[in-house]
Amino acid sequence: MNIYRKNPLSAGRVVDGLAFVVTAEDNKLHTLNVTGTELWRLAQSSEGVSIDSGASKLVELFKVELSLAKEDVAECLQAYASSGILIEE
Amino acid sequence: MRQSIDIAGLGLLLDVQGEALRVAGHYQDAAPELAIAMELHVRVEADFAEGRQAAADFPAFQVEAVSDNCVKLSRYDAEGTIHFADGEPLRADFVVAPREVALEALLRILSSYTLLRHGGLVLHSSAIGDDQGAHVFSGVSGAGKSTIAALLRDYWPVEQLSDELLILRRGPEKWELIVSPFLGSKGLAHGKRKTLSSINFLSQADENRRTELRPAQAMSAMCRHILSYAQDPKSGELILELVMQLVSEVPCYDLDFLKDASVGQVLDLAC
Repeated sequence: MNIYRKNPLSAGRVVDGLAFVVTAEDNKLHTLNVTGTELWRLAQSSEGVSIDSGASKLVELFKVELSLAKEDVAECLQAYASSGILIEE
Repeated sequence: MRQSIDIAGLGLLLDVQGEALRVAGHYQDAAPELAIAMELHVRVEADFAEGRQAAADFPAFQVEAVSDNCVKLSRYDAEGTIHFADGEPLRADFVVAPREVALEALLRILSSYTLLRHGGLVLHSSAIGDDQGAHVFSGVSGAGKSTIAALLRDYWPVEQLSDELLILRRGPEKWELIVSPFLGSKGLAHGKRKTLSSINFLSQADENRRTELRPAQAMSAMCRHILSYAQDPKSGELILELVMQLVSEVPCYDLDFLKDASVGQVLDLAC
């Protein structure tokens, strides 16, 4: 299973419950939504975040269906990896 | 030619070799006791820009991280590297065409990197000052930054502090605005300091309305208008840390304004 971690070249801070991440390659600021912020938090942990662990967290927090959560998390993690916020292992 | 310059309380050693190239006259010499925080070593070559595609003068640098402690910068009339080392002055080594704006662009970018490491940010904005402190106006191009500062200067008992770029720096107790010496700020009191009272993000509207922003909203707005380069990881961390501190310590607002002097009323300026 793919694990996503914080890109060591990105910098981030959480303010008011939202993550702000600067990506080095393009010098851009990304403002993550609530879901994205949870994934960002998990990605910074030593375990990183997978589609399964991210979806479990969303189910716990937002009481959404697991299958729907997995779709959202997969899409989100792919997008963050493409934009340099996270790296995929 | 070697010259020491004071930029917002930080010493810059400017060393120019080759053809003569000087900074504009309004840059102030550093006091002898001011510590050097940045060194800019420049070799001026007459034909450097020949055959290269001209581009916008500001900022127009391509920035590329060479390592965690070094970035390479290039534009059509200047090229070089900036090295960062903890506890030492930032060192920039560049080859430039004999153009004052090329040297000016280098001063801006080197200052922005150095200020970050000394609790300061360079912001695209205008500003006015009164007895209480300074009000900063930021926004996209055409939002009215110069207009609002000029209107308030002409109709209220305030002075215009900036119309283009200014420096915000965290002092021991408070944030200060420092009038920058960069080009585009002619006739202003370079080096002047004022306590920062508010930061306002502008939109022109059919009424005056000022709405305080939550820290996350202010953070997002602020990051769009600071002159920042985060191609190295340390700079990204410093930018976010400083902006987060700034928006939590200084009131930030959305300011919708009519294009006339009545906007001074919502800023609570003294008559």
